[in-house]
Amino acid sequence: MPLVCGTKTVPQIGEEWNVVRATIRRPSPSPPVDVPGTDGYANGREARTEGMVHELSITNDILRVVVKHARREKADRVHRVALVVSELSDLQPIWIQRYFDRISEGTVAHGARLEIEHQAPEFLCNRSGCGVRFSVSLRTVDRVVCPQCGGGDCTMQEAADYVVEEIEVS
Amino acid sequence: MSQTRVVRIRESILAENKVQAAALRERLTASSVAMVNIMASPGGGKTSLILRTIQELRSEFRIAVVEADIDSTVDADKVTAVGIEAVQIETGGFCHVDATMVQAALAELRLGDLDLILLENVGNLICTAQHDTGAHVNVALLSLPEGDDKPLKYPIMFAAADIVIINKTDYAEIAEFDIDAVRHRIAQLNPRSEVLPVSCRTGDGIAAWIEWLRMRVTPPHGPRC
Repeated sequence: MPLVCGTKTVPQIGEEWNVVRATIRRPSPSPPVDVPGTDGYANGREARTEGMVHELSITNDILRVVVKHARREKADRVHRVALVVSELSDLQPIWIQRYFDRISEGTVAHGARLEIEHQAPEFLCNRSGCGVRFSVSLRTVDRVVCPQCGGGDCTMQEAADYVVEEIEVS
Repeated sequence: MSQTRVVRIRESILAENKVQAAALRERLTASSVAMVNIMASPGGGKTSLILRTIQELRSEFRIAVVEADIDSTVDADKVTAVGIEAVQIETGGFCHVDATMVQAALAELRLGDLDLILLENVGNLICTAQHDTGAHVNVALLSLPEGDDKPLKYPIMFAAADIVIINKTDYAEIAEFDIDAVRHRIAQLNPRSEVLPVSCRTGDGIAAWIEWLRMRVTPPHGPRC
């Protein structure tokens, strides 16, 4: 059972995280005519503890990639993990490091320092004949325009990615 | 003690899921089934939108619903109550669904008997947007009471969406929600995304959503091509 918040069960490395229980539910024999009720109008605020869960699932994926490569290298220890993360990522580096410290226990990656570099997202200009790819930080511009043709129809190529760039091992 | 060395990796942690999601999408397309991934905060109106969509399209398309919830079947029960088959994924604490989970759910359905699958993702605006589910269309649903700052706080969600539905327009008078500001912010993040205000309760704007969806489900626009 994967953990729900930072204080509960901690998954073991290699443990299958995606615990899926899919249950089919067949419609009742004579369906009543129904329209959407007010149920979807409940208070939309998120629970405070929920924020932690997102860092955790990403951290687990980071650990998986790190351990895989450390094994391949026959490393005894991972000292440093360099990550490149989209500047749009709203995950908190401090939580990623804390979760990493916790879930990496008993693995070669335990004690590794995470270095997180944020990167501006990449866009593709959709104007025919242009098609230039460029990176621009959304923190610095109000509107995304192609640096080559000045066109405003540009599509973000990768909103969020987490790339393990390198690891330092011994 | 052996010397430390630096190993170049350059591996995306989301890559594996992307490969699985692409394969799943291909399988759905080959079976002429369109899958629509609906993402929102808890209480944003995902289930209401699904029920509305079923009501409008059930005479045209054979629909099934995949419901993802951390640990309850409340939403799936609402769907089956209107006579539509629902598969429940209990994510067991996981805050989003990924392609593996959806694949497991689809194994419970006969794709040959379906035209449209509505996937109700887990209620949150963070990691649902970062994990490709294999859907053809990604819908971000935002409701007026949540506030117009959401595209600023959760940019990835709004960058990943093919359409942003702004629900609960019937709250306009009390919500102080600036739809133009939201349009502007979404245009910066994702100029190709449509922004569609609706009210699942009153039915306001639903026709435009249905028209948009129909174009993406029906051949030759939809997954059959």
